[in-house]
Amino acid sequence: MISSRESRGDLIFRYTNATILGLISIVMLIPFVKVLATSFSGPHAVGAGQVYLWPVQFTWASWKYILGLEPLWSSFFITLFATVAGTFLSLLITALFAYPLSKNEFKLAKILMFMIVITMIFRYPIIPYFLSLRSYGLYNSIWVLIIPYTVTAFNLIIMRTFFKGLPKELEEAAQMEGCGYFQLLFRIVLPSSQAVIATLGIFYAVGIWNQFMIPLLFIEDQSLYPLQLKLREYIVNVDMEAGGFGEILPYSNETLRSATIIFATIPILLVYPFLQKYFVKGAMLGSVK
Amino acid sequence: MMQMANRLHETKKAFSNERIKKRGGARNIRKYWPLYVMVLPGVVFLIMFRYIPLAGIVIAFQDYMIFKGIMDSPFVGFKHFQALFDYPQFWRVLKNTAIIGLYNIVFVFPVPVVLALMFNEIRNIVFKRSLQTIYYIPHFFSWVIIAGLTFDFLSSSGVVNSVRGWFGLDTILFMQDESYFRIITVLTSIWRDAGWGTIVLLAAISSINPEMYEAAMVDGANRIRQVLNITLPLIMPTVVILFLLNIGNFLDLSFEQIYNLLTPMTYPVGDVIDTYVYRVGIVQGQYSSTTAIGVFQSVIGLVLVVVFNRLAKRYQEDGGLW
Amino acid sequence: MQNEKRNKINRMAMFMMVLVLFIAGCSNGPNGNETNNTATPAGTANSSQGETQKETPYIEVWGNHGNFKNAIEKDSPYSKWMVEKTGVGYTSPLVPWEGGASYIQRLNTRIASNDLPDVFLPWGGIEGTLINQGALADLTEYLPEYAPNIWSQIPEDIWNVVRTSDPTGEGKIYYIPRVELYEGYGAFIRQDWLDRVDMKVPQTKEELETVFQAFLDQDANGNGDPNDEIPISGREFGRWMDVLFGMYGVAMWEGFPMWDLYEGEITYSGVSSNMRAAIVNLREMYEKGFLDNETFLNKAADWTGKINADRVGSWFHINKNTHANIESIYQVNPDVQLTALPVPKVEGYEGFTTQTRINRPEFVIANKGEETIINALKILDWFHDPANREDVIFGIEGIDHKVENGQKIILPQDFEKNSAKVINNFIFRLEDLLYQLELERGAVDEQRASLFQQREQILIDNQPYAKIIAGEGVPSSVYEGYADIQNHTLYQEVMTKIIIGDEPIERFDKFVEEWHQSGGQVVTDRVRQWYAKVK
Repeated sequence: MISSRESRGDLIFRYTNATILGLISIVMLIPFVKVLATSFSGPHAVGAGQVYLWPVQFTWASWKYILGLEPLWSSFFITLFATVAGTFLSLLITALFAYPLSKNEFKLAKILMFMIVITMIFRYPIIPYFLSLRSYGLYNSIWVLIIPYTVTAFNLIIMRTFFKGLPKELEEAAQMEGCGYFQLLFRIVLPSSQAVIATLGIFYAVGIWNQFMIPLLFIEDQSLYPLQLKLREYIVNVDMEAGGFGEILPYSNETLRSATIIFATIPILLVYPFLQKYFVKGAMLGSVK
Repeated sequence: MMQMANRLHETKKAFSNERIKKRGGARNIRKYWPLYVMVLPGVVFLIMFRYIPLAGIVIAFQDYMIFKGIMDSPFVGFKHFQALFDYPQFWRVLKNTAIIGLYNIVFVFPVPVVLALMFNEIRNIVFKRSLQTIYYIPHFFSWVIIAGLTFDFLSSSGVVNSVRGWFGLDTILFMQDESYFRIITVLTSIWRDAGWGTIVLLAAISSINPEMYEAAMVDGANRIRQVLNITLPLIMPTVVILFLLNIGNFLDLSFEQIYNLLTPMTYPVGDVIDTYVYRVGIVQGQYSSTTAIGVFQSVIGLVLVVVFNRLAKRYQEDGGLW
Repeated sequence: MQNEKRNKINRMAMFMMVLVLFIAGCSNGPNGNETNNTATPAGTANSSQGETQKETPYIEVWGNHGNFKNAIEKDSPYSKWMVEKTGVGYTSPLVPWEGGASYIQRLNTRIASNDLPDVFLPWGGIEGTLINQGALADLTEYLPEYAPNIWSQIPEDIWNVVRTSDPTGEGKIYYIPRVELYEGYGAFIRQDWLDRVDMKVPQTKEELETVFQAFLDQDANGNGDPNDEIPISGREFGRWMDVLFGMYGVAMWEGFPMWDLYEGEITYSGVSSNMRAAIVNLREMYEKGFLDNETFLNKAADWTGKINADRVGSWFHINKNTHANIESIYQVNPDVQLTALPVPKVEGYEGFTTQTRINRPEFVIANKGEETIINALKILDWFHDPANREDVIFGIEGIDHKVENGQKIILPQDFEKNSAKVINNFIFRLEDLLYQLELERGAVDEQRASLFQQREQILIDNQPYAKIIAGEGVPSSVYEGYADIQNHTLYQEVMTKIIIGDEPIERFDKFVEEWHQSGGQVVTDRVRQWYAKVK
C-alpha cells in the first residue's frame, strides 16, 4: 500500500486533487438537485419558474401520487426484470463472443472484428429494423426489451480488448493441464476479469433500463410498458388544445414528471456504488499466483 | 490494456505465430472448434439484429414508399445524395459538424482520462466512491433537462449573469450569441458525460499491478511522476481503443444535445448535419433522404476509422481494432 | 464459487421470468391481440340485448390522447357509448404523443407493416405521400350520404381546398379537415395593469407604445417592484407574438409566416415588404425593452411561467385557453383582469389576426373497403349532428358530467381514470364554443367562474380582427424537396438576428434573395399554381 513516508509534494498534490474534484462535483449534482427540488415543490411555484435548487411551496403531493400509481410500479418491475435478465444474457453472450476474438489462433477474428466495427458505423434505418424484428416475432412481447440489446459492438470490443491484455501465463498453466477453451473461459479468464464484467454489466444494465425507442415502436400493450416509456406519458402536451378544465390539484405535470424522473433514475444510479468493489486495484492478479 | 511482461509476451507470440502459419483453414476449425462454437450465438445475433436490418439501407437509393414497401419502391440511384450536396447550406452544416466534432475530440475526449487519473489518486474509499457516483449522475438526465438547466444558468437572471453583475459587467444572453455556442457544447458535453466516460478507464487502471508503483517509488519518483510515467502509459491502449471507437462516428454528433441547445440565432455555427436531417425527416417522414445522409456520415466515419486504425497498428503492438 | 453464484442467480432470473410471463399473459386478456386484426369488422357480440345476431363492428382510431392515460378498448365507456348511439364501436390505443414525434414514428411502423389503423390523425403532412401510395380511402362519394352533417357544416370553399390534395387532379376528397369557423387566436392585455397606470386599452401602435412604456417604468402589477414588468413577450423561433406582425398585415399562423395576397399575388408573407416593416418595428421594440429580451430563448414553459408569475402585460395565444393563465395569475395577483387587445392600428397598413379555418387534416380513413368507410363516417358524423349537441358536450354521466338537482354539470377532466374521446367534434363554430364555455363556467364555484368569464369576453372581442387568408390550406406537397423552406429555417434565423440587433435591417433584403434562390421561387410557383386551381 502506501509507504509511510509521503513527501510534502505528494501531500499537496493529493489534497489539491481532492479539492478540485470536490468543487466540481457540486456542479455535477445540480441536475439531480434541481429535479428533486421540483418534485417536492408546489405546482404554481414550478409553473412560475421559481424553483431553482430548493423546493418552493414544499409538498409531498407529487410523490404520494406517483408512489401510489399502480401502472408505474408494474412498469418498474417490468424494467427491473428486463434489466436483470438482459444483463446476464448480454454478459454471457458478449463474453462468449469476445473470448475467441481475443485469441490470435482464431482465424476469423480479424474479419469478424471488421464486420462488428461496420455495424457501429453504419446504422440501420428504423423501418427495416422494425420489420425485421417483427418478423422474428418480437412484437408486443417482453423479450423485445431484452434480446435486441444482447450484444453491443462497443461493449464487445471493450471486453475483447481486456481479454487481449490479460497475461498469457494466466491460461497457459491450465492449458498445459489440458483445459479446453470453455473451461479456460469460465474458470480462469472470467474470474480474472471482474473489473470489465462489472463495467459492461453497468453499461448493459443502464442501456436496458433506459430504453425508450424500441418499446415505443414494439410495445402496444400498456401493461408491458417499461419505465422510461411510462415516464414519457407525463410529458406536458403543449400542442393539445387544453379544452375542458381541470381541478386545481396539488401537483402539476411538471412536478409529477420530476418525481417520475427521480423514481426512474435512482435504482440504476445505485448500481455503480455496489459494483465499485470490483474495481479494486490489481483485482485480477490474485489468480495468477 | 495491461502491458505487463511485454517482452515475455512477445516471445510467446513469436512461437505461436509460427504454429499458426502451419494451419490450414479446415484444420484450424477442427483444432479450435470450441472457439467457433463460442462465437456462434454472437454471430447469429449480429446477422439477425444488425446485418439483416442493415440491408434496409438500400432505401437510401430509392424513393422509399412506406406503405408500398422496399420491394415496390422506385430505385433512384444517387438522387438523395445529390440533393444533399445541392442543399444551399450543405457546406455550412458540414463545416459546423466537423468543427464541433473536432472540438469533441480535442477538448471533450481527454477529460475522462484526466478525471480517471484524478479519481485514482483519492485514498479515502468512501469519498472516492461518492465522488464517482456523483460525477456520473448527469449522464442519467436527458439532454432536454441538461439543456434546460444550461438555458437557466445563462439566462439574464441566471447565475452567470448575476455574477457578472457583481463585477459591474453587462448581461450577456449567451444562448443567442454565436460566439459562445461551440464552447457551450463542449462544456455541456463534459458536464454530462465526462464522469460516465471514466468508468472504462477506471476499470483499466484497476488492472495495473500495484507493484509497478512500488518499484517507481523506490526509484524516488513522486506521485505526479508516477501517474504520468506509469498509470498513463499503461492505460494508453484502452484510450486508443476508445478513440477508435469514437472516431467512427465523427460526423454523428449527439443530435439531442445540439438540437436542445440550438436557437435560430446560433444556426450559423450550430446547425449541423443531424439537425438538418431532423428537419428533413419531420417533413413527410422522408426516410430515403435521411438514410442517405446517414450513409454519407457513415462513409466518412469509416474512412477515418480505417486511417486511424492503421496508425494505431503501426505504433502499437497488437493494436487497432482489427 | 463464481459459477455457483451465477447458477443461483440464473435460477432466480428464470423464476422471475416465469412469474412475469405469467402476469403478462394474464393481463394480455381477450382484448390484448385485437388491435392488429381490424381489417374486417371483428368482435364479440357485445350488443347482447340480442334479437339480432349481427356482429358489432369496431373501428380502430389513432389520434392524440392529450394528457389522458388510458386507451380505449372495445368495452370502454366511450366505445360502448358509440355502439349504443350509432351501432359502431371503436378502440384507440394510447400512443405516446410528444408533440407528434413519437406518434408519427409509431404510426409509420403500422404503415410499413401494411396494417393501417382504420381511422387516424395524419400528423406532419403524411397524408400527402399516403394518398400517392393509394393507402387512403376516397371519401368523395361517401361524405354527402353517410356524413351529411360534416358535409354541410364545412363550407364549400374549404372542401375545394381539400380537393386539391388529390394528386391526379380529379378533385377527390381524401381527408376530413379540422375546421375552425371562428378566430381561435388573439391578443390579450392586463386590464388591471392598465388601471394601475391609469390608461385605456390601446387602439393604435402609438398608444400601444405609450402603454408599454408605462408598464416598463411603473409598478404595473402592483407588487412594489417597478422593474419586473415585461410589456409583451413571445417564444423561441419568434413565435406567439403574431399580433406584432399582424398589425402590419403579415399573415402568420402561430408564429409561422403564411401565404397571402401581397401586391395581388399569393406570396410567402415572410418575404413581403409588410414583414420588413414589422421586423423594423420589432427591432425597435426589442431595443426599448418593450419586447422581452429573452423572447427568443423562451421555451413554452418559460413563457407560460413568466405570464403566470404576473410579469407579462400582454401576449398572444389561443383565446379559449386563457382561463388557465388567469387562474394561475390569480394565485399571485387576485386583481387579475384580462381583456382582449385589439390589433393596433398602424398607419398605412391593414392589420389583422390570421384566421385559418382549415387547421389541418383531422382524420383520414384507410383504404380498407366500403364497410370501414361507412362505419367510420357513422361515428364521425354523429358528433356533428346538431341533434346530439347536448350529448357531445355533456358526454357520459359519471365520467364527463354528473347530475345534481336535475342539472347536468360538467366534471373536471380526470386524466388518470378516464380516456380521451379521441374522436370528438372537430368543426368549431363560435356559438357552440361559447355555449360550451358557458357550461364549463357553470360547473365551477363562483370565484373560479368569475375568472372563467373573462375568456368568454376575450373570445368575442377577438373576432372582429380576424381575416381569412388566401393561403389557407396550402398542401404540404408544395414544399417537396425543400425542407428548409417548409420549416421557415432561413426566415427564423434572419428575423431573430435582426430583431436582437446582431444584424442590420439590410440583411432582410439579402434574405429575400437567398430565400428565393434556395427553393423559395420554386415553391412560390407551385403555390401559385395551386391557388389558381382553388379559385
